[in-house]
Order: sequence, then structure tokens, then C-alpha cells
Amino acid sequence: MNSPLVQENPPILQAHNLGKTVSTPAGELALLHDINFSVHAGESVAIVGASGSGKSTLLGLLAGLDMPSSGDIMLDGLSLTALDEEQKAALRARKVGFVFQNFQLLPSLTALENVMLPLELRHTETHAHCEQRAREFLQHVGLAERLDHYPRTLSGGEQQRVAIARAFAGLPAILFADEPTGNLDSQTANNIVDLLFTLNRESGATLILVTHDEKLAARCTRCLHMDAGQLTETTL
Amino acid sequence: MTLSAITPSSWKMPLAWRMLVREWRGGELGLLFASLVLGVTLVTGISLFAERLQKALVGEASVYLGADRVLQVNDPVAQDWLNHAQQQGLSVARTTLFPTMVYPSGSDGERSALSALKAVSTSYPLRGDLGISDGTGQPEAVRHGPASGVAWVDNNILTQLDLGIGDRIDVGNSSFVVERVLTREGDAGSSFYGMGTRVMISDSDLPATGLIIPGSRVEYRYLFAGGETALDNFFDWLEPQLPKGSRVITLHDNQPGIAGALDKAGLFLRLAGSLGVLLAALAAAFAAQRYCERHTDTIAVLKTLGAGRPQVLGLLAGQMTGLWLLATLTGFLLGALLQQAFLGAMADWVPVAALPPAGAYPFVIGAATSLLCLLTLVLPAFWHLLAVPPWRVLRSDSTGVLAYSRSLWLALPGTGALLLLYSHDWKLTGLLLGGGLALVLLPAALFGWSLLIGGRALSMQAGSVWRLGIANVLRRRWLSLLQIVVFAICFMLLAVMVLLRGSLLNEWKLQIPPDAPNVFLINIAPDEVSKLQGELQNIHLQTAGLYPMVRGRLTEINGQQATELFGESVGEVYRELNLSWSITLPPDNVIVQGDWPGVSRANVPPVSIEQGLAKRLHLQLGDKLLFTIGDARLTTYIASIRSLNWDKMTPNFYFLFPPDTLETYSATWMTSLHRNAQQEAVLSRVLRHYPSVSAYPVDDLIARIQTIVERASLAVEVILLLVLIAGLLVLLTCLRASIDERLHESALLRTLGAGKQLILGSLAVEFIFIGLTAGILAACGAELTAWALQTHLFKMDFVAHPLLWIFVPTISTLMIVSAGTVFCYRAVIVPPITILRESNRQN
Repeated sequence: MNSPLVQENPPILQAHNLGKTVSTPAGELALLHDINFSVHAGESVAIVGASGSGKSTLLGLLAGLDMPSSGDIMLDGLSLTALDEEQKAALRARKVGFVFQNFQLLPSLTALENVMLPLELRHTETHAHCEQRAREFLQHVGLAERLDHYPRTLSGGEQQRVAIARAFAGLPAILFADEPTGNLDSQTANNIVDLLFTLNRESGATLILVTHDEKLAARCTRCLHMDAGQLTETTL
Repeated sequence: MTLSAITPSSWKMPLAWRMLVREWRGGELGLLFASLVLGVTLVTGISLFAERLQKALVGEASVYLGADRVLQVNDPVAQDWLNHAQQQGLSVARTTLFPTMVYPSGSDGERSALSALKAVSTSYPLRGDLGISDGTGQPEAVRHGPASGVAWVDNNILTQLDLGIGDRIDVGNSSFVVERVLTREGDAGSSFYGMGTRVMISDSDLPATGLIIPGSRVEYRYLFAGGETALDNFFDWLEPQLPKGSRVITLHDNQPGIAGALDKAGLFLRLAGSLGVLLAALAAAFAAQRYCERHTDTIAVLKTLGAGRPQVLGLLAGQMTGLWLLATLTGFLLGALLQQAFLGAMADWVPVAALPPAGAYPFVIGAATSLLCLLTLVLPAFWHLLAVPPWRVLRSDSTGVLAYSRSLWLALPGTGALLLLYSHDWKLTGLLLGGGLALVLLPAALFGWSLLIGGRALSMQAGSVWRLGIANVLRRRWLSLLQIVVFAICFMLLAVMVLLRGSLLNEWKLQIPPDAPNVFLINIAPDEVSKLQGELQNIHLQTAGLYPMVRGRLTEINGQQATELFGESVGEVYRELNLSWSITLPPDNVIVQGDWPGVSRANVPPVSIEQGLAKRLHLQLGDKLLFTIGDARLTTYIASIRSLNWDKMTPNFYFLFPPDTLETYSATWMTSLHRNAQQEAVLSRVLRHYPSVSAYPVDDLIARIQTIVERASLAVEVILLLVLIAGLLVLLTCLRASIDERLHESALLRTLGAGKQLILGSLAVEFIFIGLTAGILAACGAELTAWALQTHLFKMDFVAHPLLWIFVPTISTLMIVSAGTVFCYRAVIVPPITILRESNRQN
């Protein structure tokens, strides 16, 4: 259900005739066909579908991690197909946050350093300021006592908390989450989902969530169904 | 928002350095750091050790020149030249040599002796010392010449003149008190001219003798000692100005035997260092591969978080710069400590405190080693890392690692550059890299691959442990092949070192056998030859053969003046040479070209020439030579070229004629023989009946050569030990780098219920396969490389090594199986979930 306020916001993400094809020994294989949709700033959108339906591929294209075979994506008013890799990386640094199923924390960095990293990569704030912000976000996700821990010494839930802190510390305009609870037990998964939505609400960021969990999808304002590379929309 | 607003700011060093500290703390850089430190330590340590020892050995050998380099001229040189040398920091001394008659003072001239007078300046000798004796006690070593007014003379002169210490001799217009008997004179040279008839006086007394008048045949020798660079600079400056007839003498010219031993020792040390470089490169390659493997996801995450390609490159380059600095400085420190430790271990044999300090070069080469390792082995890894796409965070694949393994071939030119930089020797580099590695690598890879394929068929027949083990090797076929090749190279290099060490030490041991002649008898009159020979046989002294000597000068080559053809570059055309003849070819003379003795062609008699001189004079078979012997001229042609062994202390001649050609010229005869301490007195009694015969002992020369050979041998042993230790470390490093995946798989098998026996058994099979294949390839490569090095570089005879084919595969299999099993043992003692968690988090 979209609130009127959200509907009035300009679209932050638009997909136009999006397609992705890969070459296989058997010939060309279409992963995505003719995808069209818009997401307004502040919305939370779930992309659901069975394994192999193309959810993660779509997420990779929307976040500018991969190149579409056809069509275009507008992210924050910029056409991703018109940007080179450097410009897309810079756009991600300023506007995009990520949460992954397998956390993707750097094993050689402590929790604090993992959260500081995207801030440091921007080179827009002092080191002290980066550290201060990272501490605040780790405190916010309940890991104030685990700042100097390495990922290998943290549980799965704790690692995902660090990943969430890292994603929100950069104050992204849009957050992509790829199966954020896929590697967690149900109790931990519920806690993580609560945390994710709370922080999302507080930050006002747009959330694009890939999941196969219908209950998790139900907490979003919109739900897009992927099936064999095609998209249908369900308004919740 | 404009695009420029979102372009990332340029890379800044602090973040790269912060990342370096973080990665270091997180344990990600340990292996790469260790391999770089190993390389720098090894190269710096060996270079420091080799340079100091080489300097010491050359210093020891410089005794035979009395200097580091000598300028021989027919007239005194301008004082400006000597001043220039001193300004360059060189020490300078002068000796003046010419033959003259000496008489007992106050005698009527009935008794006289032909002496080789040598006037020496106050700074003589610059290197080594002189042995003098007062005739009563043990000889003492002094580092100066005689004072003004006194003479030190050879015992033969005293015997001939029937004089003793304290008596006076007349030399020209001057009279000198015989103060000491000269027992040892390092720079007497290897020529027998004037041997045993030395009279040494002070340079300041020379003018008063009135012996040097215009036209006198005087040989002036200017002795120089100092740093290698200063010497090179000075002689580069001097040589264009040198007058005709001048000659620059180095150790090579003066003592080819010692120089040869030193050259081989130096070559071995350089080879050892080069192998150290290769081993370090192997370790760095493996560490870089592991770094690449473990950082693929990191780079994808960095890109996802907004780091552009230049920013990632900057971060990696910044980290590597820091790592290079740290590794290099640590390597310097460890290299210096290592050198100290080895010198300390050699303290009983080598006067460590007296060793000259090493220069900056070992550190330069150490730093270059780590830098080139990074640039040629780690940089390719970075290119692959930079190409990692950000979508890898969503789905993983392993193409990056494989691509990096293939790009290791790019390391060959880099490693070649490193070897060349280290050895300054194209041939050594070519043999090691081209002739050795490249030729071995390709067949090794093919052979390894066919074994892998064969292994599949074998595993079908075998039980589950074997099937699982071989399946592991095959599944990781690229990594297995890479490991087999790397281990094969490692074992091959170590085996080559052991083989060469054995051959070199054997050759040195044989260089001067215990019964080598230690005294030369010269000036034997033709009518005394058979009588003396008989008397020597009576007292059981075996001579190395008696040979006639006719003194002659080589004046023309193919109708052209020899001095005009070669100038001062070949000293032999300026001085008289000892010509000899013989019915049979003397022992240790080997005809390398032509026929001995040859036949006369149109009344032109044949001659055989020593191959080194033939090379220096660019002479070939059939070339015509004109000798001036006294007033006579003798034309001859080259019928054969001979190789000689200069170290055997037997009479050797540059030119050897068949009988009949020289028999009409006046000759004296010479021989050499071995006498022990008991026989010395007996020999002296015999020689008393032959007053013209001079006995010239070479015990001191032999002792010094043996000292040099012993020290060089010890250096070879120590360096070998060092390289062996380094090789083992590299092996363990490479093995350790590939253990994570095996641990992960073993943990998975444990989860599925596999027992300890199956897991350890299959791992052992995998390591046996890799170790045995690597060992067979190493034996093959070692035999090939040893053959190439021995025959082409060390100029030694090649002997096959059958034991190598048993020992190398056995040792390599045992080592890899035991080390690999120890590394993987954790898989059966730690709960599998712990290992799986660790490996999941690492990935």
C-alpha cells in the first residue's frame, strides 16, 4: 500500500524495457525480459520469486553492479547505461547501500572498520568523523561492545547487523538487500528484519528487497513477483 | 546533480596505509610479507656474505701481486699519475727490477752471482707480507722492505758468494750490509726468471748504485691498492695515456690457478644467490596467488561500496608500497644478522674481524629483488583483481584464480631480469632460465599433465582412499599442476646446488694433490741433467720430468710485429718466454686442436701453443710465428693447441717444440719435485754438488692456495646450507598456501561421516602423487641443468648421477607427504563445523 506522500515523491529508480541475456553453450539464454517499473523515494519494494527466477540478476542491474543487455535504468535521475564503471561506482558510494545474504564483510577488518570503510572511500569526511558515525551506527544495531571484533568471531546475526550498520552509515538514498535473512535462523531473522525496517524508516531511504520469504515481502509497501525473468506487480 | 560531482576524489595514501595496517592485523598479508622478507633476507644475506668473503679471498690472493693491480712499464711514469692515484684514495708503491751482478765487498771479483735486483719503495708491499730470517730462528713476516743501506738477499746468493748475515755485498757503486735472508716474497710472480736470486734493497739507495743508465733494460712496477671502484676509475683514466710496452697486471694474469679457483667460488656463490632469487620468486608467486584468491570478494565488495577502479588500484598499490618497504627493511636486518651468524660460525677458519666491510650493493640487490617480485609476480594478480566485477558479491565463480595461475608465465621475463641484475652474467641467467627452467617447464607441464590423466585410470582400479586422493588431485588439476611444477623447480634447484657443490669440492681437492711438487730446481746445466736425475732417484725423489728452457721473444706473427698487433694488452709479446721441447707430451698437457708433435712444412718446424695464450693472441692452427732467440731468428708454425693445468706445480710452457728444433740453442734445464720435511736435508746435500742449480720452494704458495681453496669450500658449504634451508621454507610456504581448500573439503567429508583413516589416507595419496611427480621431474631437470652448468659455465667434466634419480623423488615425496599431512592434521582433530565456519567466513 503506497502512502499518498510517497506517491507524490519523484521516482528514484526506473526500469525501462530491461532485458538481460547470457551466452551458454546451448545458445543465448534470456534471464530477464522487458522489465518496466518505477520506485518512488521512500518506498519499500520486495522482489519475490522462486530460485532461478532472476531476482538477484535484476537486483544487480538495478544497483549498477551489472550491465543490462537491453533497456535502461534511471537511478536518482541518472541513466546507468550512460555511465561508465567509475561513475557508477561513485554513484553507489554516495547514494546506494547494500545488505547481502552472505554479509560480505571484509574478513581482515574489525566490525568498526567494516562500517567505516564506505565512508572512508568517499573521502568527504575526516577519519575521526567516519569513526564517530560508524560507532553510532554499531551502537544503534546493538554491537557497541563488539567494535573491535573480526567477522570470524561474530555470529551470523551479528555479522548481518554489522552489514546493516555499514549500509545505513553511508546515509544512502536507496538500499538494496539481497535475501538479508537467507543465512539466519528464524528468531535472528525476525530481529534483523525489524532492525532493517526500523533503520529504513528512520533514514527515509528507499528499500529494494529481494527475498523468497512471503512474510518478509509483506512488510514492504509494494511487492514485485519475478517468474521466469518476467515481472508482475502486486500492491500490498 | 552533475556527473563531476559524483566522480570520486582522487586516491589518498592514508586510507591505503590504514588498509595496510588493518589487513596486516587481520593476518591477510602474512604470507606475502614472509615471502618477500625471505627473498630480501636470502639475497641480501648471501650477497653480503659472498661479497665480504670474496673480498677476503681476493685479498688473500692479492698477496701474489703485492697489490690489487700492477702497472708494469719500461720507464718511470710521471709523478702526476701517482698523485692522481693517491687523490683517488689509492695506495701506491714502486718496485724496480733488473738483473745485475753482485760481489762480496772487498773481493777481487773472483766470486760473483747474477742476481735479480729489486729496489722497493717504503710503502711496499701494499698487500701481503715478506718473509725474512736472520739465519738462526724461524722466519718472521714483515710488511715493509729493507731500510736504506741494507739488503735482504736470497739464500742461493749467500751460498754462491759464501757469505752470511752481517757481511757486505757490492751492487754497482754501492755497498750493502746483508741484514736478512729473504725467505718469502709473495709478488715474485710465476715466472722462473730470476727465481731464487733476489737481492732486495731500498728504492732510495738505487740512484747511488749508478746501475740505471739510459738504455738499461729495467722493469718498473707500480703497485696500486684500494677500492674496486677507485681502481677502475683510475685505470680507466690511465690506460689511454699509457706508453707502448706498458702492461696492467691483475691477479688473473699473475696467478691463473688461484684466479680460476676464485672465479669458480664466486660463480658458485652467484649461482647460489641466483637460486635464492628464484626460490623467493616462487614463494612470492604462490603468496600472490593466495592473496588474489582471498581478495577477490574483497575487491567486489569495495566496488559495490563505491570504490572505482583507480581507487582500488590506489589502495592496492599503496598497500604494496608499504608492504615492500616493511619487507625490505626487515629483510635487510635479517640478511645482515644471517651473514653475521654464518661468519660467526666460520670464525675458527676465517679472521672475521679482519674481513673488509661489504658495500651497498647487497642492499640494492635485496631491495630490487622484493620490488621486482612485487612488480612481476604480484602485479599480474592485481590486474585480475581489478577486473573482478562488482556483481561477484551476488554470485561467485573462480575464474580469477585460474586466470592468475596462467599469467604466472609472465613472471619469466621479470625473474630473468632479476637473475641478470644479481649475477651480471648472461650465460648463467640464460642457462638457469632458458636452458634450465624454460626447457624443463614445458616438458614438466606436459609430463605432469599426462600423469594426471594416467592417475585417473589408476584410481579406477584402486580402493576408496586412492580413488578419493587421486580424484582430489584431478579436481584441482590446475592447482595440482602448478604445485607439481613449483615443487619440481624447487627440488631441482636444490639438487643442482648439491650436485655442483660435490663436483666443485672434488675438483678443488684434486687441484693440488698431497704429493704435488713443492720445489722447483732451475738453472740445471745440460751436462748435469742425467747425473742429477740419477742422484735424485737414489734418494727416492721423483721429478715431474726434466725440461730444457730456451729464452726467446715472440717478435712476429704471420709476418707482422707482435708488439704492433697487440700493444700492451698482451704482456707476453714484450717479455722473454721460456721455450721448451720434449719427445713426448708432458702429463696434464692435453691437445685440444691439431696434432702433437706435428711435422715440418717446407722446413718450417711445428710448435704447440698453450690455448689461453693462443686465445689472447688470436692465433690459430697454421699461423706462422717468428721467435728471436739471442741474435738468432726461428720461424715456426702452430701445429697444435694445448690445455695446461697451471695448479699442478709441474713445469709448464707456453710454447713446446718437438726435439731437434731448439737443441742447437743454449739451454738450461728445470724440473719440479715433491720432497717432505725429512728429505729436505738430503736434497740440500745433493744440490751442494751442483752450485749453479737454484732450488725454489713453493710450499708457501701451495699453502696459500690450499687456504684459499679451504675457505672457498667452506663458503660453498655454508651457502649451500643457507639455500637448502630457504628452499625448504619456500616449499612449506607453497604447501601452506594451498591447504585451506583441503581443510574445507576434509571437514565436509567428516561431516558426511568419513573416518580419520579415509581423510588422512586420501590426503596422503594426494601428497604422494604430487611429491613423487615433482620429484621425478626435479631429478630430470637437475641432471639436465647440472650438465649444462658443469660443461658450459664451470668448464668441468660432466658425470651422470644415478643416485639422484632415487634420492630426489624419495625425499620430495617424504617431505611433501609429511609436511602436508601435518598441515592438514587439524581436519581430524578439530570439530568439522569450526573449520567450515572459518572457511565460509574467509570466502
